[in-house]
Amino acid sequence: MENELILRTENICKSFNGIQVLKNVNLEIKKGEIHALMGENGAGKSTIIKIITGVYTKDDGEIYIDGQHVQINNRHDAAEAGISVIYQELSLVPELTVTENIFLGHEIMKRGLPDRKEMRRQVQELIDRYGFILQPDTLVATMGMAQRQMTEILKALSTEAKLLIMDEPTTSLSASETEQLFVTMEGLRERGTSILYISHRLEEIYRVTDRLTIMRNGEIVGVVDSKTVEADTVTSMMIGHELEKTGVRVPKINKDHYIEVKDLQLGNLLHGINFKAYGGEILGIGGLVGSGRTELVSCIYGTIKKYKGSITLDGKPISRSVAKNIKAGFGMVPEDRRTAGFFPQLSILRNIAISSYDRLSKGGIVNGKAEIEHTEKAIADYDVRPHMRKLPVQNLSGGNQQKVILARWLSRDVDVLILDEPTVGVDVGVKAELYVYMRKMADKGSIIIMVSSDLAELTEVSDRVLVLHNGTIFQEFRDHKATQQGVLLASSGVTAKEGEVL
Amino acid sequence: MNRKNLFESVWAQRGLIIAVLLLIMLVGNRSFFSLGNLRTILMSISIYGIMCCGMLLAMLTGGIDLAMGSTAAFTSVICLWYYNNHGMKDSAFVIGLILALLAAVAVGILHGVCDAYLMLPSFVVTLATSKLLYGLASAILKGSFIHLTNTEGFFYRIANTKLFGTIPMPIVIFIIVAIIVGLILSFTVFGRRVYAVGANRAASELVGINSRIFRVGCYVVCSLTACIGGIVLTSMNYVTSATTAQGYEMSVMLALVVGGADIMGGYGDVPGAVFGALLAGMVENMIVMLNINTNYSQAVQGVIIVLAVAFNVYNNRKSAGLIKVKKKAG
Repeated sequence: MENELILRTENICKSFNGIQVLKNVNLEIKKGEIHALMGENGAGKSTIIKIITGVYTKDDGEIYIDGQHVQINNRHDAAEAGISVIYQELSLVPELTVTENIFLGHEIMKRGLPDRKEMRRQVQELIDRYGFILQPDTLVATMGMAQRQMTEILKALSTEAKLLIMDEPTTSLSASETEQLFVTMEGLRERGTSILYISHRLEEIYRVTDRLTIMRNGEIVGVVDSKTVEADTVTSMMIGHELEKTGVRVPKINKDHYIEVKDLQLGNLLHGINFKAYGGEILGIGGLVGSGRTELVSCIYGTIKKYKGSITLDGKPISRSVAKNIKAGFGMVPEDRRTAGFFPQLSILRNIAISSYDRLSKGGIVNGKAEIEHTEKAIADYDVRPHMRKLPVQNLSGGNQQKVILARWLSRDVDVLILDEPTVGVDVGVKAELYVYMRKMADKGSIIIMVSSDLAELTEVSDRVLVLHNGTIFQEFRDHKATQQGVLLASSGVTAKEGEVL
Repeated sequence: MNRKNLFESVWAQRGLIIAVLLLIMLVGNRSFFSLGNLRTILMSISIYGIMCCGMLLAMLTGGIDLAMGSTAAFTSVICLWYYNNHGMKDSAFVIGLILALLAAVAVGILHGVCDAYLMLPSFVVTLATSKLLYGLASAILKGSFIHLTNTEGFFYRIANTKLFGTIPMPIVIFIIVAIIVGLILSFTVFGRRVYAVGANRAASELVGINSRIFRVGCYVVCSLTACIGGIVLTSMNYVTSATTAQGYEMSVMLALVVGGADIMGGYGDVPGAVFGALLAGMVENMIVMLNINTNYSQAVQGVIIVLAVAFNVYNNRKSAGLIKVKKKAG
């Protein structure tokens, strides 16, 4: 048994700031298998991989490669041990050729100059051995994503990697490119290379992997055979128990106040989306990253203008200008608050008031007193801490930064509020607060649309959930009937019955 | 530390720097403190003080204008050339001034469009237009100078009259421009949005600000102050040429950086810019007053500027150090 395993970890533990993120993880990967690792965001997948590859150091536990006990303290150690990672953001230099990229940093030298002929020969040999569709002299810049990934894999193989780790390799690939990658992976498996494959997509797991390890809350909760396991077994292992519902909110839906999206098309991202979002309800939008969720809400808000189809508010077309929409009562809490949400070096006051100068100024001159009153009220209403309006927002905690962005809109009583991943990186206490503010807003009759990858949030907070899959609405869950499992299955394109309980 | 303390401490440091310099002069040469010398210092900084106010806007929105000196030369050449060719009447000056201002607006729009819409690096674009404007001005003058000879006209009087008989007009114009830009930045919606665009372009778009138009607008204001500076300078020297105000953009940039502005945008204000200009002017003056060998004067200026910038960088790091970046697990 022991010598069948390429990698074995024994009781790996890791804590950050006193919070244990890995608890006695025993990961086992056989020689020549494609092994999947699944789990929700925060389950500990990335952490265990970073430990195996030497990015983080473990607090406790042992790592065995090929039955040999190894110490991995940095990336170099991991490479020595035969572990290679194919990163999501590829690490190739586009201006160089395939050969130059593969030998980057460890060129073969001959009399003080790189021996191009020899390197080219070795690369050609690798390409032939693994049957890749690549040319040694192609410029990386001219290649597609799939070929770049192959080059990356080849680079790993050139260093005699025994274990390849692929972290969501298909996110930037098209369907045919994905298939090409799978064929490559199968070829590698036949030659005895092991692959640890991380993905959120169930269909891929079925397609290409042999075994599957599922993690939850820093622990391994199951190792199963991917060919025979049922989809809902996997999802229920990932989620654990359904969270208890904390008193279902009965939304007062106003059928006369609505946003209607009709046959919305956007390039190859959205294919004919139709739905209505009503005043008084919180409409959740689920789906995997890349399923078109962010694009959908961007079309509604006006940041994406070149869509086909119609979007109307109470029957009247919505403007494609963000400024006009804001004046009409729209507000947007974007996906990434750091890059598109707050103004880091500006004060809390400037960050909150920036959207409301239509009310806080006259003839282009800011009404300083009104500005301060408006901000002080917002800071108090939404409990932004510390209560110091002059503090730059970059000095606040993540949760309070998010409160500032939310306060920017709630303080002007928006009529349509769009939230994209509103609680990423926000701690539990603040999360609950944010939900309260969202519900209050809905109770006032506003239309609230929330995009989220957090299944608990999506199913608990939304009154209705739409799940997108590959740019179409795959399933709708009404009347709080969305379950985490149902949403998760729908995200991967599998239908579960409404309200089905495990 | 809250924002207020931070702000106060910045000014405490600035005060300290000035106090040290004044102390040196108290020992070194007391005639430094004469009213006449104060006037000399202010006169020496008035032109690039005016330009600082414009460049501040460009830098706040993340741009840079390395063509300020050339813009000043080009527009002043246009104005004086028209003036001299149309009978040196005050009406000719007004038309010349309008032509110069229009040229400045065109230059600003060119810079803004290249940066904000075509996404060309402003550093390179403005360096290129600086060559272009220098070339055009040389072509108009066929490489020579052009003199302001009518000492009775309004053009001459711009720089050569004193308000209340004591304050030279260039200083007055500098103060007026600084106050106007300062008020715009502090009290108007436009000012609020300029800071927002500089602090985070993507976020400014999401609150409905057309960041590109703002960036173009800031380049236009920048070129306009270059034009005003160039015309006042011409009046001061009774002459202009393609090389008028050459290299001023560097002094302007240094004054702004010393005054707390950030080339990446989002930081900086008019009081800081005035401080930066004042410090540079004082140091230059002190070197003369202390009879330091002029061979060393550039070096001394360099050292003092580096020290002032180091103070700023230290302050910014200290404030940014309060950010807590938690590595997320999972």
